[in-house]
Amino acid sequence: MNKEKQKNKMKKKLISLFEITTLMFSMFAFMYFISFAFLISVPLASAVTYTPTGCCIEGNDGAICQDFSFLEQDMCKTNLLSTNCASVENCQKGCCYSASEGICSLNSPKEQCLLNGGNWTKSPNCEIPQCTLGCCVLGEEASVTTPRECTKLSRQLNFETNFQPMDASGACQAYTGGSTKGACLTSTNDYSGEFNCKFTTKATCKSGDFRPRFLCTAPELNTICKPSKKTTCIDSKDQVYYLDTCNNLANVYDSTKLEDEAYWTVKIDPASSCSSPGKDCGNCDYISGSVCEKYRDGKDAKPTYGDNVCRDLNCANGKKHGETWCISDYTNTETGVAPIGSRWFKGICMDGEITIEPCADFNNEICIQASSNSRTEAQCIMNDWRSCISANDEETYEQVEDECEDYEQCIMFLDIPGNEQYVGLPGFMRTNTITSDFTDPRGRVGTIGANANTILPHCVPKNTPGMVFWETQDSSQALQNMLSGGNSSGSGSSGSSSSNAPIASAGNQYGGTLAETQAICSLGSFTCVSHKVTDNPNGDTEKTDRGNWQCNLQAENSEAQETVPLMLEALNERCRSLGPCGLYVNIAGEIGNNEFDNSTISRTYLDANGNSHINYNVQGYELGEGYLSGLSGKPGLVRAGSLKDLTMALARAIITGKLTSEETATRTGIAQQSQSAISAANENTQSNQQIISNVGGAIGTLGLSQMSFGTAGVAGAAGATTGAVAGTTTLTAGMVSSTPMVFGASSASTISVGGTVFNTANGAVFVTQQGGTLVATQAQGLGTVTAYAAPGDVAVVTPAPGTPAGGSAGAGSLLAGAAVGMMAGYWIGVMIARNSGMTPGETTSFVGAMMGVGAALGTAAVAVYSAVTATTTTGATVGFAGLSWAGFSAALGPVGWVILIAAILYSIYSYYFTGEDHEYWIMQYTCEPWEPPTQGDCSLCNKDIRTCSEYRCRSLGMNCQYYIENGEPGYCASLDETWSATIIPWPEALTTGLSYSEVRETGFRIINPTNEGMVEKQESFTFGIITDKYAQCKIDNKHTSTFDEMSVQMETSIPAYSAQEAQNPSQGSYHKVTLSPHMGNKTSSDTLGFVEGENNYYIRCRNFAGMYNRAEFAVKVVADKGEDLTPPAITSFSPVSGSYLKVGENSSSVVMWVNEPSDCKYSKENKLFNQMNSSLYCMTNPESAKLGEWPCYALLDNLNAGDNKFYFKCSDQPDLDLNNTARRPNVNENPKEYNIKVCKEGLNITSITPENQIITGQAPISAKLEVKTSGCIESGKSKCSYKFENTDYIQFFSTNAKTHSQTFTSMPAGNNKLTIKCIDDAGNFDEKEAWINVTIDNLEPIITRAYDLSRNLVVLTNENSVCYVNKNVSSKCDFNLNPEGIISQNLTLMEGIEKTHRIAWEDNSLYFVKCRDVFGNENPQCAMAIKTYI
Amino acid sequence: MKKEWIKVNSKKGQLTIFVIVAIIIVFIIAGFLLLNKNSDIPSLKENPSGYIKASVDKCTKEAIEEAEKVIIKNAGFIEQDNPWIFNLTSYELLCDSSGKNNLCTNNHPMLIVETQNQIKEYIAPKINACFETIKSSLRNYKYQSESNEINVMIVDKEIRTEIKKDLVIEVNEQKVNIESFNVKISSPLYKFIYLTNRIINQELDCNCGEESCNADLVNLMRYNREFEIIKPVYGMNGEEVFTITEINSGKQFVFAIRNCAY
Repeated sequence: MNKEKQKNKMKKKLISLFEITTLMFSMFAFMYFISFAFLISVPLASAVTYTPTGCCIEGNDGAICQDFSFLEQDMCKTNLLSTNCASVENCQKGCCYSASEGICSLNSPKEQCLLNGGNWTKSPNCEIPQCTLGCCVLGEEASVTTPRECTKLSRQLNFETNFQPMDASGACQAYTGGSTKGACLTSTNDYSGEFNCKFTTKATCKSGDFRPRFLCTAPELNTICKPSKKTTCIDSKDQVYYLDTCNNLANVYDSTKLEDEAYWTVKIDPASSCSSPGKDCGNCDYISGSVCEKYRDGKDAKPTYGDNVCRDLNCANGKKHGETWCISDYTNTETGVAPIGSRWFKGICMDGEITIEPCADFNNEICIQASSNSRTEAQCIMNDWRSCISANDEETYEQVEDECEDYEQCIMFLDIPGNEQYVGLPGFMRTNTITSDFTDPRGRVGTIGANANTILPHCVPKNTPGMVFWETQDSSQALQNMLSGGNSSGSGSSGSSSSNAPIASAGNQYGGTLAETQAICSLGSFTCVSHKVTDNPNGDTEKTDRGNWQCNLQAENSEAQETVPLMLEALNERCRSLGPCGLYVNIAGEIGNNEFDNSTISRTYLDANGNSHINYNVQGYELGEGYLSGLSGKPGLVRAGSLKDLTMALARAIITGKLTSEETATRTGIAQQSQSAISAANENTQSNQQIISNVGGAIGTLGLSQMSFGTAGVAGAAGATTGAVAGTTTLTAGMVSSTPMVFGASSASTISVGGTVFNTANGAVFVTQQGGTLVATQAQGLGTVTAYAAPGDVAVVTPAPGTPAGGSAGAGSLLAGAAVGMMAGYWIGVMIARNSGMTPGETTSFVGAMMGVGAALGTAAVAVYSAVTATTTTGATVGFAGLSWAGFSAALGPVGWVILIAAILYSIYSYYFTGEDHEYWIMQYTCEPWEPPTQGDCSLCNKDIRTCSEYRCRSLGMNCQYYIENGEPGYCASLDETWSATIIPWPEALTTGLSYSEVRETGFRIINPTNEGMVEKQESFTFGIITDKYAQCKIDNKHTSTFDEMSVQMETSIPAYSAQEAQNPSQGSYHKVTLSPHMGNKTSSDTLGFVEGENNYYIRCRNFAGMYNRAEFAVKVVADKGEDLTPPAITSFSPVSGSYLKVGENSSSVVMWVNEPSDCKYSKENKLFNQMNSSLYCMTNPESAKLGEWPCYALLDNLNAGDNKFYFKCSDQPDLDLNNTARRPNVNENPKEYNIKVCKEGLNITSITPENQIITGQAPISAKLEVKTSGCIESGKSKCSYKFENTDYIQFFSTNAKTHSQTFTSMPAGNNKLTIKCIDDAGNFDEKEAWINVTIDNLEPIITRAYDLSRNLVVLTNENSVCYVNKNVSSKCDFNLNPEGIISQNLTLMEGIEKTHRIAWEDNSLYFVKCRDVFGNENPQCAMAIKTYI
Repeated sequence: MKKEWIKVNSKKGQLTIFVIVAIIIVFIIAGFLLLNKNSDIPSLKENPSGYIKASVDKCTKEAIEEAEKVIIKNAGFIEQDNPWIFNLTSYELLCDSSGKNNLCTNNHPMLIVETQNQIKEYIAPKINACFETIKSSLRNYKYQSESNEINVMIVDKEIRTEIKKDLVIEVNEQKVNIESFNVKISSPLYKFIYLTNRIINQELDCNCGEESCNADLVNLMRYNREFEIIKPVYGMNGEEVFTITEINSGKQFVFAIRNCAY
């Protein structure tokens, strides 16, 4: 109890303590809230309470001159002054100006300013001149500064101080860029009050009166410069600018403003100028696609004024600047067959001009293009047609198909869209399973044709190759070329037809030889054998027509009427898809000369007698009109000669954009594959050639078989050996069937074969025929004795002396009689059949019947004989008179009757129910090289932007020849066009002021009409001639005999911008030459001189075919006297000014060209010629002249990194003394500036991507190699090449820039070591190596485990995959993972894209699982089939 | 007998080891000395003038770079003069209105001069130490020098330092007389101060309470494209922090103003 009480007390104590504590906290809390409310109210109360403020000179936090209330006194480091800061002198706020720096600071305390050396003024906003902000013009830039700041900046940056007020917009925009230019006026000093003027910057206008932004043509400036129609382009600006009469730059060209004074007064921003670039407006803009360029006649819109235009950088065909695209001779679909002679080209649009680059000839390259952002890019890639041909080496159709699918550029013939109609025709099956049935689709009937058409070439190239289809070189060379895969520089084409000399050409220009083409084409050849069998020809009870391949129009098969035309079409389609084979059109759209004559379609008929009927009727074996017209009117063909002009928008029509597939990898061993293809083709060809004889031989065998004894005959003969009938049996070689005849061993008899006598008592004698020879063998002792009888020999079977015949006919005698009769019947039958011309089938039945008759008669004869003999021996009537029916019947006996009746029945049976006849029709289609039309328009090849080549030329017609006498690309012409060219003067080439006179067929004169016909002695001049054919012309000043003897080559050109210009500039119709007075009467290899008085020149022109005018064409010139008063002109340098030298080099040799023999000097500063110390070594003799110019050589040394400027000057007439006042040489004191730059840094390969990487994927693996370079020329512009181990360097596809790229479409597996080499124009070089490790994964994923996890079926794969489940029990594992398959088969995707995949578990269900890895490898069958249980 | 032979042999071995170790030590020391040799500084014997100039140049540059690093962080000062702490970061208030609704007072109207002085003060002892080091390295030569005078100039893109010091040494009977050393480093400090001045002036070119007082940073950046100017921090009492970044180097000049407090 006490304990209870104590417990209660304790409880109460605790409760009390808690209550007291709570009360105390509550009190504090209440007081806190009260106090907070009080605090809040304090400022409210103070807001109405005035507190005095004082100035704090320096606050605790560092603030200066701040007014604080005295309540904040603690915040001030010093005592608060009893006044506000505005009243404290040191805290006066004003402008602090730094006289040295030019910096002005607003609201600055006076003391703080003065303390640091500033100037203080009582202007809070610094409204003092020193602080006026303006524009400090620093070159082409401007900055907002005070005047002093500007001075400092200008001094520091080496500019003249140019402090300008801010522009109207309160900024300095007006002073940036070129707007600081203006008119620089200098006095003319002629008291006219006019000024000379130069439009320049103020910096350069040091001695003149500078008028910013004014043009020199401003009327108020009163200058001598006036507006003009001249225009110019300037570097770094896009626009066309007007020039004034002083050649000063004016505003942007605007033809409507020529007379507008205001437009010629001040500089106007291009943005405010005309806005439609064209012939009247020069406000070009590169970004918008135009830039200032020199006007080109015929190509640009002629400007209203001046000779510069805004050239549209984009091209007339709608292509943009920098775009490339594919051009072909036809609109190519993915699987188009190229017209013969066609070639791929790449069109390039650059600076508004279209240029054409050909891909490799003979379609060895094809062009592919891709588009992005409305731009196209094209490239020529290898045409891998050889792989397609090689694919046909496989054994079965399926294997060929698999191989074919491995190559992107190949396709199975029957898979080409439109070719489905051919499926099922003879030779166009989608299977070639070998069967013995006559329906075997490979053209085989029994053994006939077994070696022909073993595999029909079903895999064909998507892009038909071009090949030589004309006679070229010998076959051994061709074979050599083929072995090298055409990659050696073998003779790609025959070259000039006239010389027939091989031309070394690049590997990818190889077109093979006619032999190779024939071999390739023969892969499309096909043999179709029809076989007809007629049963029981005499009975005529039944006929069969077996093995008809539906290619026999003459057969009684109506189906053939429909299938033969379609089959011929299919055969031609397949033939032409192999190359220039079969019947097809050329690039002019003209169909070739191939016809379905005997060389293409031939038929042979083998009749029932085995007689061959070659050149059998081919009536009806023709291609349909519809098909032919479809070929000749091939849609999309852009005919040769139709693209004549580079700038024509016609090019738009030839854009093809359908090929987007990437290049398949360069395959090794193409040559070998190709060779094997050719071998196979050759075998095929041979087989085809042999097939007729094979078939004939086979038919002969069959015929003999029918004509042999057959089993019955042999039995008869064998029976004879067992009988007792005396006599001999003769077996003739060539008439024994392959079934051996056995002569029994029981009855003694002898067999004589080829002189060897066998005694049948010693054992069985086997007599067989082997290839027409009788062979008899008999086992004797341990060996075998063999005897042979040549055809025509006989085996004589002689019975051993037997028991004399009894009085009555025994069964044996009757049988013997039957046998003998049968033999006799046989021989008689054969004789009759032969003489009556029966077929083998009829012969068989007739001989059979005769044998039956013979047997019957033999039997009857034995019976008669027995009856007669019996009568005689028994005393009956002797002779036949005693023969009675009863006796005959008795002699015949029951056996005899049986034999007799059987023989008669056999005879009837044989005649009506045995024998068969075989007939064969063999159709042979030969796929031959294409033949060009007999006559074609050869000039079409030349009149086109697409480059002519021999392949193109020859395709136009048999009359077309390709001439390369004047170099490649040559000229396509017919033989009758090759006569030598005629020559007439070229007026436009003649120097102004001169004219041609006395123009005749043999020559003309050049005269100066204003100088009594004489040309100026000291002035060079130019003249030219026109030839009526493309030619090269030479000129000489002395007579020669041949073209080659002449010394100076005339400069040849083509009519402006013609198509031929793009093809071969080395020959043309226009030829000119410049004559130099500095040459005297001498000549160099390319320069002629002239002297005072009469000068004669002789010209010969050699045309494209090598023909030239034997008689020279003469040109006469008379020159007057004259003194040289003009200084020499420096025309060019090599290397050109601005070239780079590689890093570390400090010297460079330079060649300078001068227009006359001279002495030349140079220096680093612009000095007078006499003061220049360094001389060049100048060639001065006439023979040294090159195109009328003379070279000077110098070694520029002590070059520094960066720019090295030199000044060059020349003095003419080197033989004269400069100090000779009487006759002084002419010195050009106007120097030619030359700059050679030395790189400060070398070339570096900064990055290689991918570098040392592992790439994994399904073959073929593609990788893009990208290399970046840095260096001195344009920050690293260089050319890079790459090489794999054991290969040569190959230039990157995209290079000559800072970034270089190359795409490999089929990287080989393994560790590929790449070496990359880059070199820039200066010779700086860098080389690096990289590794690309390629792992090819062609294996499908494997399910390693399957299990139940939380009612989920989980499968584990050995690699990252996606897995699908099919639960359809009927289809099981027969489902596809392609998108259509997934949907149509209702497949379920398992969750998980890595190695673990799951799907909901269902009891007692079947799961058929297939997986696909990240590289696309998928299970062909189920990866796993899983059944779930409860 | 055998034991005796072993003893003799081991002594030889020890000797060999000692020799090898000695050679290795010599090589290590030589290598260490070679590696430590500053190839940038010319040889004292061959080019005494070059040696001294290069030495002074090196340590002066290091000192200026140190100073610059601190100064651009503290808005022109080695140690902040009028700091404002916000979010645990201290910013120098270059213009302060002490929380009043007034235009701020430009605490440092001659900031560039003050900064130059700050740098000068910072580098002076380091340069003196540098000369002492040089002097000690020239202890074998006659060395005579007057007290030096240091001038620091902050100009566009550079900090230039001129050290006037009459210094005479005799090396190999060759008397070398150097009067001054000119050292400069690349620095955006001038433009930082220039832009700071423009910003403060523009912030002050207004009437508090009547208009918004903001510098036209966009226009400033337009004419100074190599710099980026942002105001990442705003305080409760009109404080604004400005960060000027030189884009190429990434150097940042940070300062604050307290203007028109509200």
